[in-house]
Amino acid sequence: MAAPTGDVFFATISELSKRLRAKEFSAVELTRAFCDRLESIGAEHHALAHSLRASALKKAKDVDWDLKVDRTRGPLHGIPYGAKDLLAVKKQPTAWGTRIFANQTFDQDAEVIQKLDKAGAILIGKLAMVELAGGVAYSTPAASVTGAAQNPWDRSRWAGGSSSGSGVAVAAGLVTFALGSETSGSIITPSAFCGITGFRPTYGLVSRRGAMALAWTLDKIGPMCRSAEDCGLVLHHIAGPDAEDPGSAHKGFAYAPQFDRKPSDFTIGYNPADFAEVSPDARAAFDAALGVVRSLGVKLKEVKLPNFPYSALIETVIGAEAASIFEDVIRDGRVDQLADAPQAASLKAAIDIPAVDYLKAMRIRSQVREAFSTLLYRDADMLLAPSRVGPAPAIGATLGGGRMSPAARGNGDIIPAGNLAGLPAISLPCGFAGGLPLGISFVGRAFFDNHVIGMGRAFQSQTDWHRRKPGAANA
Amino acid sequence: MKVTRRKLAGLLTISATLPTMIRAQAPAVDPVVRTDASANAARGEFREAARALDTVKLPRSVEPATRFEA
Repeated sequence: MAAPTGDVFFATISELSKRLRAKEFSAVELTRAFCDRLESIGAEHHALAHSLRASALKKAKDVDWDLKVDRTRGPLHGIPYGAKDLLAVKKQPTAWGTRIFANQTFDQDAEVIQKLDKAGAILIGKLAMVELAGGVAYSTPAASVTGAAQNPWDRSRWAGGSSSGSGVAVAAGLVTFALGSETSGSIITPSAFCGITGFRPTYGLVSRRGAMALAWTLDKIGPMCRSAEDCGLVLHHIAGPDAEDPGSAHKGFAYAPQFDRKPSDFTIGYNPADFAEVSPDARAAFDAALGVVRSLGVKLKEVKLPNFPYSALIETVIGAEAASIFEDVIRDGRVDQLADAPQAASLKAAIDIPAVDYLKAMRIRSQVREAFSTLLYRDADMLLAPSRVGPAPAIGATLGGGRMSPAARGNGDIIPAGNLAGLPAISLPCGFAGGLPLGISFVGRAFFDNHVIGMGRAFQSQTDWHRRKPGAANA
Repeated sequence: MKVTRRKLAGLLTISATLPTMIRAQAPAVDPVVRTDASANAARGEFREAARALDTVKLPRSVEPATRFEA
């Protein structure tokens, strides 16, 4: 068998699965080749938290034996993947992106890791992340024990956060897919900046057992992949009820592309201001993306997000919940070991958020959910907006973080709004600005995750942005 | 009102221990958390967020969002 090279590293799950079964290369050869890339390119880009080469090769041997006797466990069998370092992997370091927890280990794999193991996927590494998944707010891309994650399209640019390493690893062909997590924007942002397809599931659809909690009522785990199709395949295996996750919605999920509705069945809500007020170099790409969506035959309809102070809501909810979760770290002073001093300051301040403010935010959140239920049944089936208004910022940039910003015009608050309402979303590569990727997002009704993935598939059937590879990483 | 020596002794004991009791009931003040200037600035941001929340009309009947099902 020939050693895997070139396009193998950028193949989708289905393509790679087919080639593995055709015995073009063994699972061991494939795993070794991906580990080599992750340990070299991944480390150079500050995307690697911890390599799992030894356990991955052991697992790959088992996969080769299975394949030898024609025993397959589905499309993920033998596929190398990476997991954000906020997910527990038995007896392996799980640092949550900060030196505070550098020596932390757990006795059990996170539920999603267990599920992927059963599906035969091969975990080859823990991926870098912004410390404590960003906490309330962080001020620079360097807010991580592994340093600022470099964007494979231009290493002087940031990869986005907090699932930074997951974004880099998929974009640079270091894994075939990755797991990320989102409290408010942590899957959508790195997916957009790195030019990959990222999916944020409905809140409660995927178990968070064994994952670091940042905000119990907002945290979600989701796939970051090369295509919407791959997101569906991974979600199929990681979703489902979990009696041991208090946030579980106790609902199942089956990826069912055969039941995709036609795009022309859907009304897509959007706000023209969102596409007009992007960064100037990105405007042509976003306009073209909107044109592609229109060409799918959907009914485009102008809508406005319900009027709520989304930034204030998300800041109050994350602040209060994070301060409770990390109270010990804040009170005993370990919080000052965070790489980002403003993040430490936010956590210290968050401990003083009055209970009445937190409860007020959660009561308003009930109204937010109600308003979105109405919007997404009365006015539209899904919402569409740029994932971020422009490409990745410079590595040395000062970030707004999650702090209060002036009310966004158009539907620019769709990230905090969608997260507060627990809605599924997908970010799709949709072009470039100055050589850097851009993304657009579809946001759907709660538990209509298949519709959102289906729209992603439809968009990607007409575009090839998701097939583009960053030059440097491909060398 | 007749004040007996026993009542007087009781009152004096309470007044002597009251400041200590009040201090014990006050929330723990971590000097590290309190004296950080940037944390004070962040507190200002949270207060600003709270003021933004005050602009939302919130009927008394609305309960906090605690379940997240469709």
